[in-house]
Amino acid sequence: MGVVIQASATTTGTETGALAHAVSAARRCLERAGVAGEEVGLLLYVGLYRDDNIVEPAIAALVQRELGMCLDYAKGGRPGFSFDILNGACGVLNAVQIAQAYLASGQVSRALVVSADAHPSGHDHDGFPYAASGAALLLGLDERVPGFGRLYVLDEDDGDDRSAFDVEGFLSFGEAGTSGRKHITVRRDQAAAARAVALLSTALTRAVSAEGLALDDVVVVTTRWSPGFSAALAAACGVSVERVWSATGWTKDPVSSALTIAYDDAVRSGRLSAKVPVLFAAVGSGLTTACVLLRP
Amino acid sequence: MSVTTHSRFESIGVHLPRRAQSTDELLQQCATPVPLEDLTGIRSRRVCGDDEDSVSLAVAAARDCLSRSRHRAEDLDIVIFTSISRVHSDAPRMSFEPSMAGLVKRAIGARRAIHLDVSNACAGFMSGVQIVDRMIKSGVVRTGLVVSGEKITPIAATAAHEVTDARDPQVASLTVGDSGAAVVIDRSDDEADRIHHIELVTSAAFSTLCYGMPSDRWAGMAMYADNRAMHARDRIQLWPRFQMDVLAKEGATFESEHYDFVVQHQVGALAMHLFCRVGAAMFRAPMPESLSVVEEFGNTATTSHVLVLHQALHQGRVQGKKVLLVPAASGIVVGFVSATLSSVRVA
Repeated sequence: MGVVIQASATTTGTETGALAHAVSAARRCLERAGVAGEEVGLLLYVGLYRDDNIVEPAIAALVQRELGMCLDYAKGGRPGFSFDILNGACGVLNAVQIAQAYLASGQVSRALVVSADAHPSGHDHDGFPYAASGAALLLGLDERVPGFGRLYVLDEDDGDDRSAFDVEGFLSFGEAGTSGRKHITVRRDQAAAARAVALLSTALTRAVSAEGLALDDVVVVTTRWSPGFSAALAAACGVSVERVWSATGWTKDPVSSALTIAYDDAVRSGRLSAKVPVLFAAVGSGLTTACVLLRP
Repeated sequence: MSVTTHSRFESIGVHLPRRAQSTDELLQQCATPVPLEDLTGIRSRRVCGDDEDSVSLAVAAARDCLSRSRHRAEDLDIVIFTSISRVHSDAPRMSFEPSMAGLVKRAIGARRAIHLDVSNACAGFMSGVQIVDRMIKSGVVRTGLVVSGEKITPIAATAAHEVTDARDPQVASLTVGDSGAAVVIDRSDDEADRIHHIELVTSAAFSTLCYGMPSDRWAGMAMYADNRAMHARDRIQLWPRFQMDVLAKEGATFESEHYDFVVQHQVGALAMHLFCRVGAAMFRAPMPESLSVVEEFGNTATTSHVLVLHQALHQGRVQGKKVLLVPAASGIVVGFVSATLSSVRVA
């Protein structure tokens, strides 16, 4: 018995703000699965950049409210639990691993992984490198297939220098003053893109090997650090570009939603065969990577 | 592989900034007088210096915790960072990436570990403990570190400038204190040394009652809480109602669990007393002695239960005893954690 993706969805692109993207993707995902919000036992939110830079409550609780999932435990209905996970573009795979543990416990039968990012003002800014975007994955158990395997992580070993990050995103009150709700600074070192490709190709090669497979046995669904990222990753791994799939048609990186968007695109365009294992491979700020194999 | 049915608190560590600030001292910054000590019982709190941040508090707590653990940093399978405040700079900032857990992991040398940040208001720490507990039970990990570094007193500075009366939505921000806390969790083979329950539930209809976000009048973080609605009787009853339901499914009751101590989320003496009174009435059972550090350290957000446990262990009061921890957080998140701590040692 394994954990599988029961449905996936992305947003329409007409939403404004991270919460609206998150709720829209979550609703579309549940609709596709024919599942009501109250049937979800665990909601994991993995978005980074949120409306008004809200840090409390968990954005997950705000999404949960909109979905009508466990509104008031005292009024009956099913218990539900939710929280936020932050780990750059890798957070969605941390969420998959956590969902596996909760589903295995029998505590919940469905887990919804929701992601969204947007400039805190709700409007796009030239200096903000991420796309306003949202996506959702509904996970559940299937006794017929192995489903998701274990999580492999590999960090770049670059010493303990905390002063220099390849990617960092923060609200600086020194810069924002009293406009903290509408301000964010994201710095991405362009030179890090090549190192992200190299690190992820090492990580995914090791993960595939640890699963007893060869790169030609899997389709890789990956994040989108920069335009042409999937082609560069395919070249670094020595596989055909047809076997490495990332979100396409985006001028900016949909960061926390990148993997789910790539998967959803691949499913809807018929690129994923029901018989081929899918390797989810993410690289994000840190630099850090996460890989998980989904076996049919 | 044998099935693991329970996890345990294997080690506990804390770190408190040296500087104590009295409630009188804080109130001197307030434009409007607030009877804070009368309302909360809080006499003082610790406050970070400019050279301390969420990461340094967390790293210091993690090192304290690991110094008495049977496990080495390099043996940890997972590191989860759980604070609300996310400051990793000597400048006033709120950070969203890279993950704080990755920075802590690097600083302590937990090379093999999976890492991630969990954010769930004041229930973040116990959410992290539940994640590790469920992962140990499902065989995904053997040993995990849950850690928090809470540099949260900037919201008190904002509130001091903005509060207009005792009913202001920012009054609760005046109660907070800074700290770091960490626990190592591993498998339990002994009924007298384990986490018996860790159960949490979010009632999301009330998720908009408390927001932590930047102020729009002051260059800093703020928290706005509708305390009247948060502490309405129906909300306070959520915890006992949930705990009774979970225990009833196991054929147990509050009384049959024989708790030796209860630790409420440290929001203020009067509120904690009210939570215990409402609990006792609903459980129809006497409430065990309530342990507290709120008078000395204030509301330390995610770290509150661990600070209480650490102090009680230091005083030799809870070794081998069954302790009930009661989280309460924006969301609204409630639940209960019960544990017997037999192998944990403190300095």
